[in-house]
Amino acid sequence: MENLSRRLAQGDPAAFAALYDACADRVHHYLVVRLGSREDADDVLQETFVRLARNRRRLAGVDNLMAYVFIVARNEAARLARRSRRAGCAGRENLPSADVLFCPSGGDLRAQEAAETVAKALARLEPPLREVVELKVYAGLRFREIAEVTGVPQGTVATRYRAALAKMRTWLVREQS
Amino acid sequence: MSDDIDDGNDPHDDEMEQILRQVRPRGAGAALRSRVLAGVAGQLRAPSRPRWERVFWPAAAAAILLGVLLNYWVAKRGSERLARIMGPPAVSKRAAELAADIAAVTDEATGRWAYERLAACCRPPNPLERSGVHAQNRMPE
Repeated sequence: MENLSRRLAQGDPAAFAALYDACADRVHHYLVVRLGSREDADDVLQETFVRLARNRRRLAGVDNLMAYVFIVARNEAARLARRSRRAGCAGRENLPSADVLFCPSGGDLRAQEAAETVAKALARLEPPLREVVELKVYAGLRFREIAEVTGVPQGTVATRYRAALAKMRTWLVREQS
Repeated sequence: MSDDIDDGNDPHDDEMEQILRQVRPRGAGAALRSRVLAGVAGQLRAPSRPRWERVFWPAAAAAILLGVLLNYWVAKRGSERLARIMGPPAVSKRAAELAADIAAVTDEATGRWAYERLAACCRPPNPLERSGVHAQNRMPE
């Protein structure tokens, strides 16, 4: 990873391709959940990588590249949200449907049902709780890294995660009964 | 706090996590990959300037402008303060000499009148005069 950081800082296009392959899917999913739109997520992901390339010299001193990419993506998403608010466009508060968020089930009814259940459960969470679940479960970050990305203490991240799981479990139990 | 502590061992949470992990997020897509990497390549080709260099000239121009404005403000405040303490500036020597010459060829009353007119023309308005404090400008003997 240190070698990759060095190559990125030197402006090696292959290193950027490697970084993209390592984290683009996870960052993109995070952005879809955060922004509520695949198109916006596409734009923000592109802007994230362009910004990384523009400020590539800083990458040499980055310890955790994955967390750093998420931090840049989060900032870009916030910038887009601010621009949308200034332009008078209301942000999308609702989570997209299961087929937008997750891989197509290929006709498997159980998989489709699971995707819909998870999408509904995630939609019931407040954005800060949803963000922690997203970063933990789908981005695969550890609490320490999530704290770094979101700028809240690690203990708060852990509390939010447990609260989110409890809330989803309660909803799920109620749905099943 | 270590991640081991944070990751928790609640069996119910594990069950919930399993449900969440059953579904696989949709990826970014192949078309987006080429679009993003083209954008990155374009950025890498562009001449890269460090951030300090991009902000240096606007910051220098702003600092100079701020310095000029601050200097003007300080000088103005200083003059006002001095005028309050010292009174109005003295009438110039030339005006006094001219008034003395006029007094010599006419009479003392005309000379004094000429002196007052010249003094009024030469000195800036005194803020203390508005408050009733008059400086004493005496005509030279």
